[in-house]
Amino acid sequence: MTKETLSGSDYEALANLRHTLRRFMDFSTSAAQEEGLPSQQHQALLAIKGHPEEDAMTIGLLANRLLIAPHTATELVGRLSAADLVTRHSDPEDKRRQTLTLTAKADAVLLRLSAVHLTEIREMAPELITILQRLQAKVT
Amino acid sequence: MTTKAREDSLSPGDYEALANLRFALRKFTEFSNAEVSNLGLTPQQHQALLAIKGLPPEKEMTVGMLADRLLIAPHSATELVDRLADAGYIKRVSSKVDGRRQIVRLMDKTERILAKLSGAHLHEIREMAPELMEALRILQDRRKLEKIAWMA
Repeated sequence: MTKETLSGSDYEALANLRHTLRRFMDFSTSAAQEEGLPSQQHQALLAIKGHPEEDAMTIGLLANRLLIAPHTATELVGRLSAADLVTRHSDPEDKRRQTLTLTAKADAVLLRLSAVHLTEIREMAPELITILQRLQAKVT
Repeated sequence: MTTKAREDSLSPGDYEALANLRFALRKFTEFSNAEVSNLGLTPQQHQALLAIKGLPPEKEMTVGMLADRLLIAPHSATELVDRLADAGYIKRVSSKVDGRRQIVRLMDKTERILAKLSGAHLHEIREMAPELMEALRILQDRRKLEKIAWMA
């Protein structure tokens, strides 16, 4: 890592970046809450839905994507399954391996949530891109 | 605002970009929390110090402004400032502009801690930026987004 001295405006850009991200996280948490979902459950549904279709989502993969421990992911999936949001299927080739799919109910919730998130992201994007470019450009 | 109409508005690629965006942000937050706790600070304390340091030179940070920047209640900001002052990271001083107004200022040791932390963060942000901008570009660069914004 190169040693570089940060200028006042670097700190300003860093502070603005975090402020923008905080606003987005706050927005996201309340939007999920309005749908009756804790933030982590929303992120789990999004991770399953946003997983490329070629390979199936498993509990292990979900743990990786959410940066949580495998046993935490197992508990999370248990709660999602109990709430009729996620279905577990046993892999015919490996019975211990379970793949995850969303229920129609989860699809509908996620669609509403993702639509409002897209609107919010579109508003935030220009500011965020400007800050990121500002922080990136200083490579010397 | 029917579900049906919106159904056509989000493609698998949109969901993938949304999921990738959040994954990138989670990794960044994890990185930040780990770096910060290595230096004995909580994430919120670090964010408070950064907010003070990142203020434009012509401005002074009050407890009320800090609450706004951190999106926390004023009484939470007061407690946060108390803890930071007790730990010797900041001090309360009277504003030069308006002597009745209390502002907060960073101590020298805090400047050094922030320089260290911010250098590491800058490095991480540069690593993350291409991924993040790619997700933003996919999500932003869509005509149908106009439609969604308009329906929502």
